[in-house]
Amino acid sequence: MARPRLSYMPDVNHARVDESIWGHRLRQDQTAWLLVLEMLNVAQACMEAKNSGDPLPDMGRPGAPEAKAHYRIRFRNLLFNYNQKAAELAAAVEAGSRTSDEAWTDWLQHVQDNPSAPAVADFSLLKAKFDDFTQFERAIDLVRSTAINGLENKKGVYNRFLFPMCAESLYWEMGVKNSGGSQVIDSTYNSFTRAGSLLHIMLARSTGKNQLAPLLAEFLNRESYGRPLVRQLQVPEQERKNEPLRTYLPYEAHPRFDLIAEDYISILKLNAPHNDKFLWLVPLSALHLAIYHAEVAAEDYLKMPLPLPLVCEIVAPRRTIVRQQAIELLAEHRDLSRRAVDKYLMAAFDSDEWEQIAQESLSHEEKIEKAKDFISREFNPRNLSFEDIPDGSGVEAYKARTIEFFQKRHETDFAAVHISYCKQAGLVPTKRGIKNRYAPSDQLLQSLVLANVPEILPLEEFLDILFSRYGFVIGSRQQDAVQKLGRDALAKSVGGAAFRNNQSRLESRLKSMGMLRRLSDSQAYVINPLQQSAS
Amino acid sequence: MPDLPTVIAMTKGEKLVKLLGLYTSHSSGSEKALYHERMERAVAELDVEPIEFEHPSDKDILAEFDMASDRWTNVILSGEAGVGKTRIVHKLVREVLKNQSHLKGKGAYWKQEGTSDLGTRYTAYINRDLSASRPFGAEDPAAIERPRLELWSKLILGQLSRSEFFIIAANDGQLLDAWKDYAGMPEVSQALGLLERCIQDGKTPDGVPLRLFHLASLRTDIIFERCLDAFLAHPGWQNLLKEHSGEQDIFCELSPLRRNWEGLKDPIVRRRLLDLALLCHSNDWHLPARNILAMLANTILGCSNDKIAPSGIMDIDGARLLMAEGKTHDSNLFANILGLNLPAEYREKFLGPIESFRVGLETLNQSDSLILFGPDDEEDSKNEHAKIFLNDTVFPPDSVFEQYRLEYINSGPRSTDGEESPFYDQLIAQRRRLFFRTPDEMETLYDPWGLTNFHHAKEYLNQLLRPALIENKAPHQRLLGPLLVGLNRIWTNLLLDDQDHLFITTSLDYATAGASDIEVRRIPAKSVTGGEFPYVYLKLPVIASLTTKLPEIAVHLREGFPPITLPLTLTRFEFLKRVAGGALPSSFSRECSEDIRAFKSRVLAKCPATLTSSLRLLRVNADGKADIFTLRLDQE
Repeated sequence: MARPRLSYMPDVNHARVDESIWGHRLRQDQTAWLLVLEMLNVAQACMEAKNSGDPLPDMGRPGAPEAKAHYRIRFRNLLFNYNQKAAELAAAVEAGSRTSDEAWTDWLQHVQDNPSAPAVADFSLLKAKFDDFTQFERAIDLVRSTAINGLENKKGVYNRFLFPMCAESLYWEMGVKNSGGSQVIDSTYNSFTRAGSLLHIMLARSTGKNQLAPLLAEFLNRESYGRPLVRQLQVPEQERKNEPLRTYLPYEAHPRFDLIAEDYISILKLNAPHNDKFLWLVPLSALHLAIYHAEVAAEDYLKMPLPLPLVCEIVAPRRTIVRQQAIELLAEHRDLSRRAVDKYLMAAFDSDEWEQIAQESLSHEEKIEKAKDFISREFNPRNLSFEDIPDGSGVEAYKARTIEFFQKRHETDFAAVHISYCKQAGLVPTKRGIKNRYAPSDQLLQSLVLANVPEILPLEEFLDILFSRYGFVIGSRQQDAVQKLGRDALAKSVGGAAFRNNQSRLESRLKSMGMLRRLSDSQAYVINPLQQSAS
Repeated sequence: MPDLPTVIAMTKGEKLVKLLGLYTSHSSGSEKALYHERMERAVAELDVEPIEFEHPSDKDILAEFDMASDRWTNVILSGEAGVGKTRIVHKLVREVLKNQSHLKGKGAYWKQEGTSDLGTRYTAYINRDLSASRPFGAEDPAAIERPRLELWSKLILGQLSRSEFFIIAANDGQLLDAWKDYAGMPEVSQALGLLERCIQDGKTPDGVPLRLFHLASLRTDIIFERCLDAFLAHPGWQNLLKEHSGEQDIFCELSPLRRNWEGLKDPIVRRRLLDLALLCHSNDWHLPARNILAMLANTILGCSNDKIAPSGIMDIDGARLLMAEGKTHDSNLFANILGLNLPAEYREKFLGPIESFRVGLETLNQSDSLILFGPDDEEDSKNEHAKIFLNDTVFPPDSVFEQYRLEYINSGPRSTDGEESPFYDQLIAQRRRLFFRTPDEMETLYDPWGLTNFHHAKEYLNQLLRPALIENKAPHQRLLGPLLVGLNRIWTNLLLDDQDHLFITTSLDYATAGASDIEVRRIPAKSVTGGEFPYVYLKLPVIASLTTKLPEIAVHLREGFPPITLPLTLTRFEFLKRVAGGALPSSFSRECSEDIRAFKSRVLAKCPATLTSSLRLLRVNADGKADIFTLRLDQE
């Protein structure tokens, strides 16, 4: 019923329901930053893999390069664990109660007395790289200050990630656990949910891959103000992730992959400071994955026409029909994945094989064995237990248990993907006390302008682009397009004054952000301020 | 429109008042298309002179049609509703094509044949409103439109006989829409490309038989002045004086109509209005002629008395009633100018730009002191107060306020939530008067612009905008210092106080968001370097932008390369000055911050990261100057 799917990867083990529909895997508990950091780590590891230099090989196929990411355990401890002691000692140096050399000795001793990672680290190499201890401490502080906000609370030292200012500041998720009295690396850490690996494969399978790969390679390799400092703070480290960075993405091609890649290309080409490009890549990545999750469900499983109309309220002082639609449509889209999972499960149990098991005249035990075997092959469930199913129950009970298991699993980990990625993208405001609805933030609007406006574009065309690429419905101009989706009632309200006002609010918001101007025929033009030539 | 007998019975002066009512009408239907046609009809029916002025573009447009030497071309007039497109089309048809017949029955689009002075036959295609001419409701609109677009396109491309030409008036960007809808035809698509180029470049390439006039791009203050002069020069005012200035009549000295008219003629009021218009222009806030005329008519007829004028606009009977009931203060010149008698939604729609100044909603200490304590201040401000308030010859003082004032002085404001109290409303009303009536010699002390959202508008007008727009004079470099302080503070997020340098900074992560304290470049002001590159300075644009020729801050990094520039709109100037004065960037407007950061982004893009031997970390010392902590980088 759905579009053709690639076969599963032999060395990637996962359940096969949500993963079969969207890939392994898009969980709802992922921040947009971790998503992008994971993708960058994969791309950088690919670049470093033998004979590669290509940041975008398809890591979802057998035979992909043996790309392995860095852990940078010592570097992370330096920044997030031993920094406090360094700060105390630097203060003492500045106050004159210690010499720089004494501070170095004390700090190195402190590090030795407080091991926090596997294997012994030799930090003494750092001393030769800095003029004095104060400089060393300032360097730590400066690099540490780029740590991405909002990730610090959960898991301590190893859940802190640096701003990706250069290749050397990237590292893979990990933890440390005690095993038999010694510290070992815990690789089941789940800061990265594999969503970034999926994003990487999407880019690799896009039609824009050949254009994007060199841009991304150059971007990863860029010189930045932080790069020499990061290198200066690093001592040799050997650990890399053991398993290569593979995952399973079912579709060989998808229009969404192409759209993501196009946005990446536009942003990477902008005439802007390189690091600032993350201001826009991060929300756009989350936005596309949010839409991907809903539209795969809608198109492939529920036979709905695309694009899904995302009615966006440009925040108004009063409640309007636009806000009402923005609330209702979000609720509708949020539910699509649940409906798709149901369809998927039903279809699997509609198969001839299952029919046969149910119909065959076998012994009860044989039947149950065959059913369990089918379920295990078909869905590869982990933690699905049939133990408490009463003896003598038919295969239908096993079917029902399986369906219930995967429905619950979906509800717990995946059902909120669309809305949580929308929130990460800035498409759904996270303010408490208001109903969830589509209402893009300034930063998202800015990202959309920068990604979609070559230099200058009539506002109407910009609105058309927002509709065709992202499904955004902002002004009455989209009435016909919505009509063509077969949504008559929605189309009617889109044609009304509320949507016209919504569009003029967008116009004034873009204008005050310096991204809209009226030229000589009074036409409103959207301006990409970072595409303008010299002036 | 009153019936014929009523019109005949009206005096000429009364007819003018009736006409003004039509200009300012905001009842339903008044915003629909063909406004100009309806006004022409009203003028004819009332048998009164129209309020007419020569638009600065008139001469140039008419000059495209020289019937004495068979020289004409295709003309497109563009601009938003109300800039006067239909008016000029009618003028062309009547004066150049000599069609004196009534145009009201013509519909939006017609063909007109004629003979030039040299005897050449010509065919003109007149479209006085492109959007109204489009047959959207028709069964097969394409059947009607396709040949039209094809014809117009061929004319633009010069593929037809020179004896045919068009005159098209098009609203708000709908011009290109019409062409795009039929871009499947090769001629239309080719003509569309040409049109788009003309619009972006602001001019037509040589040899193309087309002229594009964008009526909205003209300086708003010039249009305003012409509207105001034409408005005040209407002969109906003299009729009113002759016919209705007797005691208790509607144009007697104490009548609201007369007082508002006298107020509008006052040179200080006039200058303030023109300044407002010029400032709107500098901010790219549009105020088309139709809105200006409505604003002027409203100044005369505005009335805040719900019973006498439920719509906010009085007619002749209303004016009589107001006088009879002794409530003439309900028609207040200063409130009317700002449209405060009108429903908020309508006011925002047609006077939005003026509304944005928030006249009277902001204030200065000395201004409020003058209003509240001036009358009792024997030594200093009593005379000043009397001049503007008590003895104002132009508009009588507000008798009600004195009670509020005395009460305030004796017992403080009546309610604690001062913002809402009637006293506060009254105070705002006094500030409005102060804004419109402060004479030149008192401006230094009581800066009228301090009572608006744009505290620095006076400096902007006098030091930057007027010299640039009117005298074509480059701004003085001494104005740059405070602007640099503002820029530096927004760009670094540090409380720097350096007037001589522009600090281009970054941080290890974002360059334009959050604190940014790694110095990339330090660009001195031109006045400091004496012209050695690089420098930052104030200049006029080399090529005037299509709409406005604003002075700009230019960062010139290298000789031989164009500088990176930031045109100084009123809003940007105010924002930079306020931040320089200590305001937090986000407190003025988040969007403004974004706008200034985008400028930083453009500058930084021209200062790529280079290999350096150290990082220069910026810290602010007690004097607000920059101290540098140098972090040496390992050179291995």
